[in-house]
Amino acid sequence: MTFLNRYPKAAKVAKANFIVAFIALAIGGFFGFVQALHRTDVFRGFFNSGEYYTLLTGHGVLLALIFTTFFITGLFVWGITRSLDREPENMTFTWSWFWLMVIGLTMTTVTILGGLVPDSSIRAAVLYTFYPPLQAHPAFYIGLALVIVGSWMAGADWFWSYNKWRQNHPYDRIPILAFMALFTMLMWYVCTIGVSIEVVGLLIPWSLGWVTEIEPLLPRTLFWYFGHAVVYFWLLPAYYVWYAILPKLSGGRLFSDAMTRIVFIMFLILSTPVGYHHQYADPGISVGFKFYAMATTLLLLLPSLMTLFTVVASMEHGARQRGGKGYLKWIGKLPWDRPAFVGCALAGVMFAAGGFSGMINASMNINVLIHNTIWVPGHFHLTVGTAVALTFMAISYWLIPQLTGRKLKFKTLALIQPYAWFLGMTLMSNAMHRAGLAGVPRRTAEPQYSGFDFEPIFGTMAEMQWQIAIGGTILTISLVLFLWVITASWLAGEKSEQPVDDYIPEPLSGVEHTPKILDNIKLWLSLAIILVLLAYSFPIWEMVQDGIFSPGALPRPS
Amino acid sequence: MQADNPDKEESDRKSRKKLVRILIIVGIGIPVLIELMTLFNLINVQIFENDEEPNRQSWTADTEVQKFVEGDTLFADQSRPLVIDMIKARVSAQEWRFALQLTNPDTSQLNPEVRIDSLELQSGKILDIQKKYDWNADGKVSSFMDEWKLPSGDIPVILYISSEQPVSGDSIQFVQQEVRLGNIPVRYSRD
Repeated sequence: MTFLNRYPKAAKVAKANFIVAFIALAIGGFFGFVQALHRTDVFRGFFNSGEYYTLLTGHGVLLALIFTTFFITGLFVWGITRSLDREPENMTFTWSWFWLMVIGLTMTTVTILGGLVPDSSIRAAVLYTFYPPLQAHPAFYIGLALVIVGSWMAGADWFWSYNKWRQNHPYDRIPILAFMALFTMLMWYVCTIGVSIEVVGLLIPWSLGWVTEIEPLLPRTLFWYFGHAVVYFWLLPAYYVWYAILPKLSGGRLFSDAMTRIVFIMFLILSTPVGYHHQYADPGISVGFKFYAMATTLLLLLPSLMTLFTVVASMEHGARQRGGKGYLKWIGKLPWDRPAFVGCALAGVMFAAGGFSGMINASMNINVLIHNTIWVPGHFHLTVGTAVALTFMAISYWLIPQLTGRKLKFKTLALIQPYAWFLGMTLMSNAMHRAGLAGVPRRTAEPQYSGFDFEPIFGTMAEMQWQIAIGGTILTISLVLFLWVITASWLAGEKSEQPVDDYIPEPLSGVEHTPKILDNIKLWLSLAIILVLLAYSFPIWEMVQDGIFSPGALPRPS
Repeated sequence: MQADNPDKEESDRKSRKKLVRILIIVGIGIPVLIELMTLFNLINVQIFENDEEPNRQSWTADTEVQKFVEGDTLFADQSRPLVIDMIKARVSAQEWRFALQLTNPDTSQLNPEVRIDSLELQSGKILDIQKKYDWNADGKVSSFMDEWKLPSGDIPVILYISSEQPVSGDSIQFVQQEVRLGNIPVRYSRD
């Protein structure tokens, strides 16, 4: 019996979320392909350069906000249901958050796509960060607000299940799959406070014309309060897969339950109070606060390095169970012929590279070297674009059969897909980093200028442009393979009571070795809130003192 | 039949192993090679290159040729010069347009008849215009302006313009000037 048979209601909700996620992935991915060809001047026939910014907004919003959020809610419905062994408490409530999110995403997407309709007054070419002075149609902001409210309801749904489970298991430890999901949502609640205040309190009134002037610094600050933590909202579900499922796919067991919990707690505490590292170049924020943000950002390396250890140790355990020996030769014994494993493993490798370029971004003075250059998209295509997206695609090969009761079709294509993604992303991201070092700007439709030539450290600009275009094309092919395999499997895969081996073994160092204090939700949540208050109250107070609510006031000190 | 199955399974297993080997070489080997080459080149440049900029593009003779911008004078060596009052690329979501405004600096003289012959664009394309402007017919105007649609993202680098100039005696003839353009401001409009 698979998940579909045991929990049919939850399976239906999870599938609905995945359908939305994959549609967003398809549209957003196509936009990315067009962008890669357009900005490199390889082909500019799809859209004109003004429309590029609509595509860029669509690419960012559909992939980084919609695909991720809906995949995560689908994944967590699966995880919470399975680990607590109970269907959702109230299906009306469950379906309401789903449909609320769908209504929100539809509003947002329509406003973005309105930019491609000639003479349309409905536009939202505000990029995925959507802060002023760029202004979108009000429906864009309202739609985003609905998506966030829906996600809050989803989290509430899972806490409801947890509370009901707790009533029946008063002394049990929180099951690890539920623990990771709940702590991810706690982090989400903390970090979405900023963007909600920004959208509801500032941007919606401004877009409706109730407020005629807006000072960008406060909306930017509130956005970035959310904007760094959101990357962990994406990353923690990838870690969820790497901790909970990848060891099993490797043929082994999770190395340590305690390490897993500690990592998620660290992300809850540290994800939000670091937002100023996205504002190193912003005036109006004292350098001391930026320095504090830099220090806390570098602390965030710690849980990722711990994850590197734990996940690799778990994989090594699996490889040795399969007969692997030696210091490194065991790597050859891992299941490199299984698409779900390959995608997760390569995603993890690429994440390490993204972490290194992230250290450059986080370091306040070196950041200036690459600020607003294409290095930055080069970095985040390694992290969210591969660590998260490729993990999500790879684990779909293991999850979707459980939700549909059908085996995977076109397994050879499924196997080629993650390798193609890894190749394409290396080509594209490598060139983006190099071009960024030469000063090529990001968020620019045509970064070619008359009377000026960029000076790459080595190689030529033409070579880098072609590398980006070819890499982007290979990524698109990989995406098409993924969508083909999933659609074919979903609709026509061979029906089976057990389409995949969905058994997840207990960790090597189990919950019996895990200190109970790690399950103290209130303690860790309180600590997270205290750190956020410390990080943000003083800078925002400084902004207020400097006259952010007094338009036309003299700059201070005057 | 039964005897075939183990053979078929063995054959499938071998092809799968071969496929995995190819995928690892192409899908992982090439990326590793690219990153190693990048690292090598970065180290090479930082440690072993001399102090000269290693990749500075050599400037061509173009920089010795005058490039015309707003305020410059066309036909300066002729008796009826023209001043570039405004030159820009107007950009909107729908299209790109090249706008040019020329002024007769000496209003005591008749405005010369002007013909915009063509524009050479950055991509190498030639935009053939062949449009005459008899601005004396508009009464006492000292400047005229026009706009031409451009291919998206392509801006002019050379303007071929002719204007009526007096030659010996009472005769006049069209004199053409090849005007190499400097940096043209690009202005975005929501319209």
